[in-house]
Amino acid sequence: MNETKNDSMPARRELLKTTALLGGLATVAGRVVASGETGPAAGPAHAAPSAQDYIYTTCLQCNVGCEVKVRIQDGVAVKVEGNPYGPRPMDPHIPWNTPVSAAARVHGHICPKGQAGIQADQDPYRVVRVLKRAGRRGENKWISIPFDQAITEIVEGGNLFPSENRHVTGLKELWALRDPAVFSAMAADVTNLQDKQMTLAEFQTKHAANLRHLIDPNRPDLGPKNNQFIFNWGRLKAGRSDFISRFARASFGTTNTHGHTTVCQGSIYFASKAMSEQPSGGRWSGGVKSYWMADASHAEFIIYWGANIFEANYGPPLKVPKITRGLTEGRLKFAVIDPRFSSIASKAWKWVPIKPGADAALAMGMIRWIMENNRYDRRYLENANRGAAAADNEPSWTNACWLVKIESDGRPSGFLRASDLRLPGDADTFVTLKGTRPVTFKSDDAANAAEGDMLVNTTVEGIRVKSGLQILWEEASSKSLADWSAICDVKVDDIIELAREFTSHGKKAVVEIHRGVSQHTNGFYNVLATYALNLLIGNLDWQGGFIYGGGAYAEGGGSGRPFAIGDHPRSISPFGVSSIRHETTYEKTSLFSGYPAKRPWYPLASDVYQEVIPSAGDAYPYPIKALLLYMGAPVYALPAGHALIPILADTEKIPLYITSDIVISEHSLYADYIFPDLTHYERWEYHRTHPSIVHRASPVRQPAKASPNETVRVFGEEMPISVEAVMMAIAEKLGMPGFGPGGFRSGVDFVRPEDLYLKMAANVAYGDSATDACPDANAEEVDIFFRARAHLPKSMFDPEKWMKAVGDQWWRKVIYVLNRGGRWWAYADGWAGGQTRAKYGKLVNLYQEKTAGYRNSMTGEWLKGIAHYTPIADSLGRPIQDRGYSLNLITCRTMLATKSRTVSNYWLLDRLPENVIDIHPSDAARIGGKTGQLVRVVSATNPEGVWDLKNGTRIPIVGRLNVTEGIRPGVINFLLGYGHWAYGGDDQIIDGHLIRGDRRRTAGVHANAVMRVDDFLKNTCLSDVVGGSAVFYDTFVNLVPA
Amino acid sequence: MISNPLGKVLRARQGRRGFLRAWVTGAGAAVGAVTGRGLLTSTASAQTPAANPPLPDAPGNTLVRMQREVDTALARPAASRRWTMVIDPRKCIGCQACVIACRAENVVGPVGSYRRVPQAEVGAYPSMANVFMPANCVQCDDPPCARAVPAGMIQKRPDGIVQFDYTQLKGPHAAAAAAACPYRAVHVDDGRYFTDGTPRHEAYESRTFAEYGGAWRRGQQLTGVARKCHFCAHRLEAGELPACVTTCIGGAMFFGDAADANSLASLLVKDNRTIRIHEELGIQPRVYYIEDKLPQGRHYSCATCH
Repeated sequence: MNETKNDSMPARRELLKTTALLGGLATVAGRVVASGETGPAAGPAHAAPSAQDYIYTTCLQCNVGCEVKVRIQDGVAVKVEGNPYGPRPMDPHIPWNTPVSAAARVHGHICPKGQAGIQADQDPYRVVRVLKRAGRRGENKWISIPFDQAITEIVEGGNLFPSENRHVTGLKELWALRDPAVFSAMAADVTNLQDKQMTLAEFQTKHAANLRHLIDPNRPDLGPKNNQFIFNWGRLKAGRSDFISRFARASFGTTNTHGHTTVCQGSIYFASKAMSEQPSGGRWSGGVKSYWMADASHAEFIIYWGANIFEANYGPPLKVPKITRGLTEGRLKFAVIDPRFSSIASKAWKWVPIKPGADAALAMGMIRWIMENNRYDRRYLENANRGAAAADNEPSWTNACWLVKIESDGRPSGFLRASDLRLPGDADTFVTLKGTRPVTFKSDDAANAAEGDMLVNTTVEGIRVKSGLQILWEEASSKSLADWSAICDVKVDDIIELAREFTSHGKKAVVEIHRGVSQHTNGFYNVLATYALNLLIGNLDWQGGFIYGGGAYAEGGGSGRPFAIGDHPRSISPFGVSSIRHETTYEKTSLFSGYPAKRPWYPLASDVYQEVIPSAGDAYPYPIKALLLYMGAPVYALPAGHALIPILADTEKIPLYITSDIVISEHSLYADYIFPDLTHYERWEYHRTHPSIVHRASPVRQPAKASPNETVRVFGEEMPISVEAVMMAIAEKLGMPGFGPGGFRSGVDFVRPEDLYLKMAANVAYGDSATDACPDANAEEVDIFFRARAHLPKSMFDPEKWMKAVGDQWWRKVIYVLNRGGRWWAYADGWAGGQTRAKYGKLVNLYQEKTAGYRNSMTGEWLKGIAHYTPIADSLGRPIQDRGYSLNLITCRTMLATKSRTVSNYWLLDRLPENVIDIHPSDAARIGGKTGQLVRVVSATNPEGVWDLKNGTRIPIVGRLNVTEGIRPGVINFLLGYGHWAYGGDDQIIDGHLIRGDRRRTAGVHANAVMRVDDFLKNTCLSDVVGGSAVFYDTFVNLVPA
Repeated sequence: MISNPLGKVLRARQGRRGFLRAWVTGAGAAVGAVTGRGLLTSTASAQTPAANPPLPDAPGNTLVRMQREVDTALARPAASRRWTMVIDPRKCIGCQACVIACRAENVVGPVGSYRRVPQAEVGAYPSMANVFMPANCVQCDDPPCARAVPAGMIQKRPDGIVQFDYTQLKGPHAAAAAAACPYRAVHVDDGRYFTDGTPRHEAYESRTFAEYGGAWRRGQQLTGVARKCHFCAHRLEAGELPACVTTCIGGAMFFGDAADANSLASLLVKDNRTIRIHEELGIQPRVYYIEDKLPQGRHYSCATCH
């Protein structure tokens, strides 16, 4: 045994010669020391953990953000339990006022990734000092350098890489325009320019003094040079998002702060945003980037549609117990629509293996049958405004009965206004028809109830009009059930059975969707079509229906809360076309040059992740100078991520490329500088909540263990290197307002990250109103608070400074919140009177005037404002026809991996050491394949089936077949999360020493690189040009012998 | 220096808890971090399970209910308890959270596991099912492993838990115990670590942990020793439920005292059709599986395949 053990750990004997990685350090009791290894020996019985042995914080192994309690033993995080105060890992959760001493031995449920979370922190390959590139981009050769040196270099710029002999523009030069007043004045005049209220010459005269700060003085609408700095992130939650927004927008003045939404489920967010826009002053605004989900705790029937509830989604600990309880109690029945036989399909009443991308066809078939059979909620749909809805005890209403004008070509466009009929009213006075009588109304009017007919197709005073529902009906009835069935390949009988069951449970039935619906080129309209089913039965805000979530406590402040965390002495409002051209009307910009545009414009979406790097590659709308990428993994996680590699490797296209990372990951491989970040158990964040959670929920992510990262000094304060330390150090070096002494306002300093985060905790403690403040922690709880943090170094827990950040009045209340890891509504307060207590409670757009007011920037065609089926297509609207490629590639997540960032978790890897390619027996027989056989995946845009890393390495896309009945014939699937080539899996050279990677981390196949590249864009995956989704499921491939 | 309510609290405590002074004065954070820990540990070990605070009121919460039943059972003599596990495969989703929770709790290495969740795919497209059957040591009343080794190395505790003596159950005896188990629930710790082959062993897998009333560390001490599930006896004694039970997101795991007719575990056995695997061997396993179909008509258990 001992011999085996010694043989298996040669790297341990070598002892790393660099201290830039965690593996090069040794520890005593979890604290970093110079060298050697020691620890307690076995002995007498170990004391049972008590309250002081736990830190209550928030998981981040996926985006669900389950409330957890981390057990600390001798300074080491050793075990994760579900936090019983939280609704995610406890069902029902315990009362918030339970003493922490009593909660200590009560543990909630947490998934395998949550259980393995401590392995993301305790990873030998973690970067703990700043790495600077010592070879070509992608060569994986580094030197560790002092933090201060790294900050100086990226701020000052210059000839930073002597072998490349190029001048790198530093952030100092990119922080070009600095005066908030000039920003505002220029931004206002850019609007005037775009609205033709001002000429370019007038602009240039008026702003002559500052033209030199613009990217292009002849195109002021591109904004200042500040915009050539992009801050791009992957997973980001409140707190850190406030930090980044303050740094990049309010202080630095770049408009280019972009998230990653579209790689996840962008088209759900942006279709729902469009559905939630409200009329105001003749325009539509206030749409919320959120969406609806099922109240699984009370529903009787749910259609889980493209939603992998038991293995991914939002999330297993929250939803699974409600579903399994519903099953065994006989309350719940559900169908699963998914080409793959997922874990949840295994418990379904009906599994419907639909053809990928044809979701809207199935939905339109169901809508047709429901409407033909009068199985929809007429009473709900006839309500035109708040007053009518309230009379029916309905929290929400639709525009199903509002009249829409029909253009001469038959195209529905804008809503009919009272003014069109010369009736009294303003730009927000709409019209419905009751019989033949036009009824005018305002949407939010509670006093004057308005109802109207739902199916109208007529002419009013010479104006062709149709009602919103009529427009939907015409789309649904444009094909027969048999035709819809043929498109989606779901039997007519199944369409009818789904529709009948869905309309047999009143408001306790829901269609819940996720990525399988949205991540197609037609994602936006798939979402509208599937969500239209919910509108037909009017289940919004009802217990067991379609819910919007209880929200989070306003940790950002406002409305009497103790701290306005946005306080800033010289806050800038950035301006200019964003680098990903989001929420902008192409036709109004100086770049308008007809159709197609050089790259798509996204008037209805934001955070279009797949556009960030390729747009820089094309220098469209303008070249960029510096990219800071935080906790994103675009190369690994985006479809066709390989197309980003040549851009990241090109120092002309991205002259300065900085990442904040915890390991050398697939995208950091190309970075100029890697700054180590804190892992999720070492840092602060306010994870907030999700539409699935009916309760108000504010879990706090707070330091649970010491960070191994190098301690540095910023504003005279010691802290471990983190993304916060990087931002604060840059601000200090630049003398940028918003940080440092007086960083919030005169007398209120921002010199430590906790100066922000603890103020947010105080706002949570304040609650919803002046009478809602939480109790002070009593003496026992204060004692527990300190004992539980005895293992944290002063650079992470300095009680004096923590107290100072919130002041005497809030300190004990902050302790009360932090001791519990957050704040939540009591379980019973989630619902009242058969409805959810927190409500969406307003107009939901069945028909979208705003959407119908934009053209597709690539085809020039008007967007439709209604749910409909549209086939899979490229950015120019051309159908994808990859003749000769026969298998539709899809992907999904396993419970045992979160995309790019759990391969370091050996407990997870142990359960599933490599992924496989699922294939139906009929397809396997056709290609002569057997389970276990290695095959290479090839596609039209990657006919060789390789990842070309542009560093001399080409990785073949080869995986093992798994022949299974659990996949639709003609479709193959791989689990996302395997087939890494970096992330500690490959050899790296740091400070001249070779550090061998752990090959376990490279096992399995990662097939994103065969996902289709757009034929027109050539460096980007397929996208939904309306909703923004990056497309994962619309590629046809072949499998060839490896 | 500190002039706020907390300051008073801290000062009041400085007499007893000297280390706290280091924190508030800021003069000795490092000292506080190291020596403070020692104080904390000694304070903690003075606590007894009997001092467990009352459980929160959480109507409808199965975990809290079962924990309350554990408290009730702990108040009685050990010999009058009959710890029993009930597993509802209909609610198991095969997520493996229990396996990993068990590894973390009991510091089990990469080879062998106290717990497994075997999975089977049954039926044919598109009418099929996945069946998941969690399994661990069933704490037989007449354990075959005990018969395979010299007397005393494996003992049946009064509360029903089968206890291994880590100081003796090594080498050939460990192998014999593992071979004798009809459930394949016993493994021999081979001393390997998950972080073998990486630049460093991480502390989470070389930490001290509690089993069978003692404190242990993997490595020399446990290499070659036979190990298996013990219903997280150390957690039970602290008034907690086994790690696999609390972490089960499907709510498929139940635990309680079969001697208490009103415990949830007893009621589930009484009210459902249940089976015990290898009941035919006459060894009286203490783990039951619910055999009923779901109301929608589908069956999920070992009997689906066998």
